[in-house]
Amino acid sequence: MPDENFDEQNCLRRIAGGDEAAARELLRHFYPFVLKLVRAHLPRRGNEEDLTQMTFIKIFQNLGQYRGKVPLAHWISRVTVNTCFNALRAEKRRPEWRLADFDEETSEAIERLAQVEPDVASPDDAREAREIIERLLAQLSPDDRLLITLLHLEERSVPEIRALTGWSAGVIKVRAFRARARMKKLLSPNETRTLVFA
Amino acid sequence: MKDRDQELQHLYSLGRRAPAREVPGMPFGMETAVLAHWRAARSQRAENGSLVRGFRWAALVACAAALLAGMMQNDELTAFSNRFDPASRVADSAITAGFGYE
Repeated sequence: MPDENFDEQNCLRRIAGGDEAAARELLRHFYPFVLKLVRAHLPRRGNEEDLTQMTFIKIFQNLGQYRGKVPLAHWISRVTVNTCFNALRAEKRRPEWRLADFDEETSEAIERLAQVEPDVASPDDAREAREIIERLLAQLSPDDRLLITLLHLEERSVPEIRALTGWSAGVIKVRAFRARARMKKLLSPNETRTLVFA
Repeated sequence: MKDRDQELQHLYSLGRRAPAREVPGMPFGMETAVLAHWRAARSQRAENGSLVRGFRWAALVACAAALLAGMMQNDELTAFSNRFDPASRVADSAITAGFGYE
């Protein structure tokens, strides 16, 4: 959050009264927060600006339903994640790419990254790993993709995921188990690689 | 499969360290578009609200009119019945019962 002194309650009250300046304040305040969330859950071919705009439109449309039981940022996270999730659902999976079809360069990159100690990884290595993960995630269903992103990339807890998605803890655990199995399966066809971890 | 697990965990661990991309300023036109939607939704809600309020008033007026009409009819019948002697009242009562007034 960029501005610690942002008065949420006052802003919401003014927005309810139709104050456009307050609506602008809210938009500017939460823009970086929403953009980061959208980037984390963006469909591969999605446009982050379009999705961010759509998210804000939904936020303002539903602001009247916000009851203040949870912090506004949590509520906004939930709207954002759901908007991204719907966009992911709308985007078809990309059957044209499989790990088995990895080019030589990508296979080498995975093998090389296996040697890199995470604590001393360079930003380029981290970016490369992220890119590979995102290519793998693009093969999963929207539910699985969302879950792997929340669990393993954002390191969210089950209660947090529950709050964001509305899924029960049982559903989350079962889906996570299956999603992990699918990720492993995506890596499995290429059995010729032998990996030595750093 | 254990290797794959390790491999994935390793990739996640590296992927989490990917530096966050810089957050640029809000794109030109986004603020205008979002606020325009908000304004449109508000005025739509206001229109719907006034329509609902209108219907509510119309329903209240209709109820009041029906009640008033019922009371007037009742008064008319009572006045009509009171104009005659007891024998006629009995006869009137039988007639009105036959016409389904009671």
